[in-house]
Amino acid sequence: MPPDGSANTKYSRKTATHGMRRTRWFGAFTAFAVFAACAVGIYFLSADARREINALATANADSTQWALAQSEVELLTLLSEVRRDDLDSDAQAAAVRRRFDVFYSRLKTMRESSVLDGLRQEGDVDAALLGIADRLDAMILTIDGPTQGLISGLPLLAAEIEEARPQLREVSIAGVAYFSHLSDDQRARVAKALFRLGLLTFLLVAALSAVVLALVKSYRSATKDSREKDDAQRRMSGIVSTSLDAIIVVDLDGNVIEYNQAAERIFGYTRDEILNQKMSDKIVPDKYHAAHETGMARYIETHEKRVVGQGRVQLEAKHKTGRVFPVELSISSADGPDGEIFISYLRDISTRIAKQEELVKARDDAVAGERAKADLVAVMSHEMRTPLNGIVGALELLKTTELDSTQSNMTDVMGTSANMLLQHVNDVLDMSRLEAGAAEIIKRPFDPVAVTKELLNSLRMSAQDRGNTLELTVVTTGFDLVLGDAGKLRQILTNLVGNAIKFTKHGTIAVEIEHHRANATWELRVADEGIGISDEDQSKIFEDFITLDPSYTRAQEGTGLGLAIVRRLVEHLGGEIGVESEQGAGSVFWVRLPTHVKFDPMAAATNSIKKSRSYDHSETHSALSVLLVEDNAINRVIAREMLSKLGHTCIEAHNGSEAVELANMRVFDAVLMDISMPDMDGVEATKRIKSSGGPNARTPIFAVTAHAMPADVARFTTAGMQDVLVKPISLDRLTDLLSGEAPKRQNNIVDNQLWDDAAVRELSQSLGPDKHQDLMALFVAEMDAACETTFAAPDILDAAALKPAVHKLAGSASVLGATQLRALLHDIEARLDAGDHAGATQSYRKVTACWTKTRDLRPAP
Amino acid sequence: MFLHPAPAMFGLAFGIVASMAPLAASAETLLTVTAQDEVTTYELADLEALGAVTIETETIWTDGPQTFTGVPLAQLVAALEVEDGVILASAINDYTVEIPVSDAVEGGPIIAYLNNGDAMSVRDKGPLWIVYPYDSNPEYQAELIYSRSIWQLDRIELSD
Repeated sequence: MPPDGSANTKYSRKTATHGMRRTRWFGAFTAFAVFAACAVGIYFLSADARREINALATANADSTQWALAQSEVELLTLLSEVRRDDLDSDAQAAAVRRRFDVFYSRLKTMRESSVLDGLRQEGDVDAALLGIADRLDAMILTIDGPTQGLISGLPLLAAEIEEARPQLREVSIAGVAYFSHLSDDQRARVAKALFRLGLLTFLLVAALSAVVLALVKSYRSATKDSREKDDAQRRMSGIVSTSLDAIIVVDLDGNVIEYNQAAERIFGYTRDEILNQKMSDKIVPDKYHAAHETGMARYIETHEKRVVGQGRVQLEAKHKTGRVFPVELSISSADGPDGEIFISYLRDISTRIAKQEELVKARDDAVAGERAKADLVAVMSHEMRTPLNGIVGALELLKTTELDSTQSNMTDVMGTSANMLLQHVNDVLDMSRLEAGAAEIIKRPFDPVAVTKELLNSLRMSAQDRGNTLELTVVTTGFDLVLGDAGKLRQILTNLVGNAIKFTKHGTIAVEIEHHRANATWELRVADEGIGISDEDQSKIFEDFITLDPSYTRAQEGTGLGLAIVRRLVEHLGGEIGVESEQGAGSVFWVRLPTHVKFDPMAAATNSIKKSRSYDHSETHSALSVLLVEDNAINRVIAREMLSKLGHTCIEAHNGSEAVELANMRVFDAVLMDISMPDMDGVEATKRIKSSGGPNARTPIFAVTAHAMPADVARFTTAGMQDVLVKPISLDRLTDLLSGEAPKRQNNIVDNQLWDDAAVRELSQSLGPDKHQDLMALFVAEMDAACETTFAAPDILDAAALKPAVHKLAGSASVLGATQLRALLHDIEARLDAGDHAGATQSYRKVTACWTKTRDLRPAP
Repeated sequence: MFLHPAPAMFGLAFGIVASMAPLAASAETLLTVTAQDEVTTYELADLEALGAVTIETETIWTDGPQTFTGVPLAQLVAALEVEDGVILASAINDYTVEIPVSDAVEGGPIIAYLNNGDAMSVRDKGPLWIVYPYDSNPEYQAELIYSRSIWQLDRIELSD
């Protein structure tokens, strides 16, 4: 069954044709009946008319009347013979007898003739005739008697004849009247018959005319139909033959019944070669043969359409030469005269496929080219930063030495220039990093207020240089930690506040921070009292590489990429940026960033405790013992000087293997690890230190490198490094890093969640809720017991006995997802390993509190 | 009641005439034929010798079916060796009609000398009467043919 209503349509069309045919038949039959009726009618009427005319002729009174008149003539002739006197007796008697006989015969005829039947019925005609006959009979004796008697009786005969004359006259006159009536009637009948005949003939002619008209119309319509059909046929064959696509029509048996010129071109077979052949034998590649046959068989059986009517399908076809090539085809089915047929449109798409491949290759090449460029920029930045590192570092150190005023000025100029150059390099690098979308998305908790405050402090000097004051207003009190990238926030702030300082003189730069807890964003506003930005430029300043108003660009130091970078940074962080400005009055730049923090009081509290400590700018930071790993002598000197300025002590290693060796010998508070080093690089050295289980297995290691691409950073963190210090090293950054790390020695708990929700969920799913609950109950019992015994009175001297217990509990905590507890237990383990008994003891004391919290908030399975 | 006596008298009269006529006519010339200026006379025996046929038909001048015996006109024409032209047939009263020779066909008109087996007196349209077989051929039921059916015939003239 066809899925649509096509069958119905076809049926009704057929019915319509039927109806038409029936109407035609009916019409023909009716016409025939009318003709037949007319013909029969005309036959009878004409016979009738002929009969009437014949009757008219038969009854033609002329001769009869002549006969009547003749009878008078005969009588007169008889009379004149009777009255003759110029003949002898015998001759006269013979003449009279002859004439008598003639008249007698005539009268007899008048009395007997069927023609005169009617007349004899008229009035006294019959009586008159009888009267005359009587007279004649009376005369017969005289006529047939002897001649003498006849001659002598002639006067008597004459008198008798004279008396018969008026009687005969009477008959004759009656005859004239009668026959004229008769012929009038007859003529009327003839006229009537002829009229009827004429009428019927007219009807027949009319009917014939109508039929002729109908036939002409029908002929014209048939001619038109036929012409239209011919036209359609011609058009169709025109379309088929000029189609650029191959058109192949096959029947249910798979035999080709139509094959156009394009098909000849595409498949190489001529029409004659392929017509009535199995299509699959010719153009279906051998490997698809079986599938094709199966498909056809399935279609015939189930009528399930897989390819038919499914639009364009891409397949392979076989050329006469055996070459297999890709084709795009669509197949539709239709009803042919001998059952279903399949019409396929095929297109050779070898060229298109080739072109597509070319395009893909071209795109790949282009992408590779772009990547090569990005790599080049990265390499360039690296190559430029390393020498710049030397220049900037050396200048900083030079400034700490005794200099006269000229030297001091020169070093200032050099420092400014070097910093500017460095800024340019950084801008380009940032740009290329962000452009590639390659910048890593970092989500770490930080306190935006602290970061901002810190940054403003570092910019205060340059602000003061231009007579500007910096103000920070925290609009929302009780500001929370947010998740994000503090480094990028610093970049944004540096740019915005730096610009504000540049374009303001003797004014106030007001920075505001506001937390929109409702929609999980926070907003940073930097308002200046500078020259302002025109409305027109406001829409442009964030665009890439747009040449701005000269007054603006001239005043701005740098590459002019600053705001474009800021916009990209903000977008990278998932935020938005805008500006409101009035020329001459100043500008307000605002940045809205997501906090990425679900409001979780517990997490917030925990974060707050820990992170506020890590960013607390405590003045009482202690001196650290730092392992400095650097192969470059200059960089080593600079770093060492910086560290000593910050009050830290440092041990130097010249390469990776030295570093590993030193790390095995003693405990360091931090390691500054250069990455690119001969022999063993920083990544490898870090891995070894971390996996050695030695005294520095848990010591934070910072990468020091010019390789700042995200992929590199990922590699460093994977190796176990804490953070990245991008060359050239600045005192500020170094301070940040080391001061942030100082407390970590006391509290090494990285994870702040009590339970890892994801891990709990996963465990519950893999074990099933019941098993999970059993396991949890077991753990709770164990921990409770441990808190009452082991952690209540830890015997630190018996470390060897304590360690397996802690290890076991740590394992359980890890499996169940008790993150904070696990971290704490791991810490104890590590400290026991490291022989840090004091630290271990301190951590012991926290276990019970941590466990209580963990137990109370344990997830329901 | 008024008609009855007449036929009786007629019949009586006929009876006399009929009994007389054959006797009187036995040596009488019945028909005179003029062909190519040659005059031939026919007595009854001459006519009988030409071959007799009898036809049965009604006529418009008589009452009821009639039999007529006579010489087929075709025979006469053949005897006279005439093939076309017209026959001028005249009666005792000089009534004359033209009969085309083409009328003289087999099964066509005859020159009758017997009506219902009897010789015809002048009073009975005798002695000769050209009769067409009206009943056997509708074409003979026409005024023209009726006009050619001349009775009291006594002479024929043939002209080319």
